[in-house]
Amino acid sequence: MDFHLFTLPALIIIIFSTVLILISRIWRWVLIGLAIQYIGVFILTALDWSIEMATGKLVAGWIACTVLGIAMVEALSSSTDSWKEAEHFSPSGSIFRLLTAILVGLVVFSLAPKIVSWIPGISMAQVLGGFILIGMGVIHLGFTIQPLRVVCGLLSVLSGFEILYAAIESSILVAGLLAAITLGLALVGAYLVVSPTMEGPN
Amino acid sequence: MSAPLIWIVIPGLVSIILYFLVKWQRLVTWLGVVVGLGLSLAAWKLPINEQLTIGPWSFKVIDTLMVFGRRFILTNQDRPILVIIYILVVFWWLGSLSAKPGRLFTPLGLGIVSLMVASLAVEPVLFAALFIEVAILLCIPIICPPGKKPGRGILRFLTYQTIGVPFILFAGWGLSILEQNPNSVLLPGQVMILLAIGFCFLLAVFPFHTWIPMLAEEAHPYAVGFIYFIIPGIVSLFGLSLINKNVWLRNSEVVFGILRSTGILMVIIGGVWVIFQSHLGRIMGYAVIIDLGLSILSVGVSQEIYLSNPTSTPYLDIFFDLLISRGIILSTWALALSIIYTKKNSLDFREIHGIIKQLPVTSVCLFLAQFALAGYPLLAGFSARMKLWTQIAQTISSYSFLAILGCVGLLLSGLRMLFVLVSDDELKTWRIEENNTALTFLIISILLLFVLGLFLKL
Repeated sequence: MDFHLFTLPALIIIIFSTVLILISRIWRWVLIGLAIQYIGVFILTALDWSIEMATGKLVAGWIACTVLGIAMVEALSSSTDSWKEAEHFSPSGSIFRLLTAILVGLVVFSLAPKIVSWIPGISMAQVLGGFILIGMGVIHLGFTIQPLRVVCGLLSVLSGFEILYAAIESSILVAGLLAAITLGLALVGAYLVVSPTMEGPN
Repeated sequence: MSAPLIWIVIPGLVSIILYFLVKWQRLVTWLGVVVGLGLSLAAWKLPINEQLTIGPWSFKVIDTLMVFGRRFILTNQDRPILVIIYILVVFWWLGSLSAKPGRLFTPLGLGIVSLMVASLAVEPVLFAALFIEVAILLCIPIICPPGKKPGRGILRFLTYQTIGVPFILFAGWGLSILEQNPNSVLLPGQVMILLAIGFCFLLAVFPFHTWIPMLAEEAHPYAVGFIYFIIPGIVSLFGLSLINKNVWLRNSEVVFGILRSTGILMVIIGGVWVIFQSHLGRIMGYAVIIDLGLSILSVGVSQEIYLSNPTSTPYLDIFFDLLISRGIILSTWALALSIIYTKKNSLDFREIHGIIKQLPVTSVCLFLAQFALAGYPLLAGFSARMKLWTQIAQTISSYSFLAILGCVGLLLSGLRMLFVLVSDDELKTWRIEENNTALTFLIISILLLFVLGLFLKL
């Protein structure tokens, strides 16, 4: 299957999902955005990887979203409202985040042509997708101290990196280990979300 | 049987078994100690790639383990490092009997160590970054045990360490390209930049050092001390192995220049900021930044020494002296902090006024550990620092004053802390409130600080 036809939709998916993750104040939308993001990542990695390997990335990403979602439900059902406390930002905050996202997009679009020449065999769509994810992920990390959002930011950064890395390395072991890291990060994120509600050591 | 099976797979499996036994905390700790001692003894006595005969049995420990086409290699040259790593980790686990950093400390600690050793052994080198990342993920339950809310420091630690990994992976790809095309003009520069950024994140180099003091305020001091020791310690060993394996890196003046500048920057920043800290954990954090800076500086100056006289000084001996002394001193320091933390539930200066009258041995231990890391004579850190200062003075004299400055900052901070420990408004009476286990470990630690200081060769 030729995924080159889907590069533009993949880019649109990535831009839409990262913006959704960044500006959304509702955790469900953040996780839905993350799950949609992995569809874009799947298409862009499938340009260089076999469809089986790229599917592995998609599945790992969706499992990560599920794990985080279950953890959030568990944490909120245990009477804590720490999530809401930590994520109080006003509508003007969302506008500020949106403007920042536009700024990141502009930087990525202006730098992408140069980066294409640095990495052999990479396409413009992969560079744009990869760096938008990295940029938005880093911005997201700078804006939050909430464990779920931090892990979502890290997963975005890693996804962006994996798109770039897929162009240069097609080893199954690397793909497997990166998928394991995605799942590991999700598990750690879930642990950090649930940790305050867990039974203490004593 | 292969060496990676003994020093990577077996501790990994044991850590999983220990995880299921966490209900029996003391048993788990002692099992960890026994396994760690066995592994360090094996690393000391068991030659690799040589036929061994024990009674009627004959066997050979080979150096390579193949996993999915990738090689894990541990040779005879790696055995001293394995001895150092496992014996120091045993020291940490023994201390945990008194410090009580949490049930997961020993099982996850053993898992972290096995993953970090795997990162040193794996080829191609890019896979090391992935093992380091998994080890970092395992650190999280140690510093944020169940029931505790994760703070900013924990999240920042996770963030910085995770962001560092992709840079190392990309650099690994660049290194493999360079092996095939050594005449490339542009690629070495790019690889160097990627490595520099990656190691800045992983080794908490300024400005990515902020998680170190923040973590000390949020987590159990003993767990934090362990993370301070194991993660940067083995990442720096990984960095050294990269330099050793790649001739162009080893011969590059730029690389060693960057190392020297980075090291001195960390020493100065740590040394200045530690003076103004009023939290015992944060002081330990800045002391670690200073020590890491000295370690990086020792690698930076090693090229000058090596090039001027390759036969004279053993290459990088100061780096390993610093690593060993850091392991011992930090565990002592973290143990003392844990005892104070258990007693006062805080490490802030406001809460510990006059604590020397309640916890005299702990206070002495704390004071000695800080002075040892500052390089005070007769204590464990002195000989390594003395050698380093001498060599800096001989090679790059302009750096010698700055290198000492950081340690002076740590000494001043130690004096400030001592004033807080002894100043008592309530005129309490003297009594020893440490329990027998704590006293035993504290006294052994103090003796070790002096023994290492007196007997490590100058």
